[in-house]
Amino acid sequence: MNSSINLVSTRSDALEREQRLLLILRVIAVVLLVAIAFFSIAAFIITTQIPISKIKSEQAQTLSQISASPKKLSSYFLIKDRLNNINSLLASRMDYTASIDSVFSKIPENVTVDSMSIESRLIQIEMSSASLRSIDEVIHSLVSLGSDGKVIKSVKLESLTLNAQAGRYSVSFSAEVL
Amino acid sequence: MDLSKDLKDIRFNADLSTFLTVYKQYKNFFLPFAVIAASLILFFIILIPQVQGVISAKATESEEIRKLESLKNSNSNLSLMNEEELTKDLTALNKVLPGTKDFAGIINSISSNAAKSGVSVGNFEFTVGDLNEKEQGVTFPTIQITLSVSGTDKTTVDFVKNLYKSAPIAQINTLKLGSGNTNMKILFYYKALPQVSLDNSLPVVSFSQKDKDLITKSNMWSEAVFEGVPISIDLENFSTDSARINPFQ
Repeated sequence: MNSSINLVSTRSDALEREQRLLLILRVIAVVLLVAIAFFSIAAFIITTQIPISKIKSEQAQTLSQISASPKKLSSYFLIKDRLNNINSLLASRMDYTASIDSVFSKIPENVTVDSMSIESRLIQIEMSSASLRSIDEVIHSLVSLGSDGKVIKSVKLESLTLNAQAGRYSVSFSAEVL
Repeated sequence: MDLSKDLKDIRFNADLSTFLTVYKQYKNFFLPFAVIAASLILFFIILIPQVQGVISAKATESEEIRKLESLKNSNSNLSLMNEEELTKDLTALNKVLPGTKDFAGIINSISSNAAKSGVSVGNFEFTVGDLNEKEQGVTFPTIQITLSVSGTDKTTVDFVKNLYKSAPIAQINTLKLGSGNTNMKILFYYKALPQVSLDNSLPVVSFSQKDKDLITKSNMWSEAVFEGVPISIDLENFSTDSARINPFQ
């Protein structure tokens, strides 16, 4: 008799391994199937529960309430349009009033403005006075105004003349507005 | 006898018998494998699109809720607005920036500001261009008026300052002041009103403080112009052909 033949142990181990593997596979299959079924049903329920149609109907209702005041709505949009346009227009509008005010505030009482012209950001002003001291005061004031650079970019003294017959000093400036 | 055909049959029979042997040996594994494969197919074909659908539906819901909130805010803001006030504000803003060439508004502004400042208005001349032609490519079209006023330096400067604080919006283009007479070119702005499509879905927001300030300023500017004030004419200094009392009064 051949004693090396094993009739029990090897076959039993292989069978056990096979059974264990089969069990694992069955568990995986069932878990996978159940999980997919569960998540599919859950996704379907969640999709049906999202109240988009309810939101849409609320939107339509609110829109109809808004539409009930067409005059208010049109006035509002027209006001918004005017405000935007006026804002941008005022921001770009050339305003000489501050510059003129600044210049005129620096002119003493005994100094007369003979002429003034404003064109393309340039103010040209001609003044005269019998007092040289007043003329000096004006020159200093306007030069300091140009140095400040707040309303006027630069001030240039164009001429300083004396009319001996009339006994008056004339001075002319040009100032560039900011 | 066809030997090659016989060999094929033998191979086929051998393959079939192998398959049957394998099947018999592993037939218990086939069902779990089939279920796993089917589950994987279901995962890719059904579950992934469904999850994507849920994500997309949620995104749509958020967007629609945002739109609804915006509409509710618009409705609430609109209901808080007073129709009479809106009409009054719009009238004032339309005087400040008219939708058309507002000759009456310009004449009223000049006459009113001249009366307030104490200057006399001499010749004036409008440069308006083609009345039917629409300005192309100009953000803010203008009407230019060439004007002569007489008064002291102070009253003339006051006139300019008042002009800047009244309706319609004006800008001094050139100014020549000398010996009591001042010649100036003034630009008066206007801008056509847009076509209001009454798109209810556009948001209606309450006016900001900046907007409110501008509305208040516009109301003041439009109230600063009195309608029907006759233009004060300096007959001694001007031979006025075109200057006459306000024709729009």
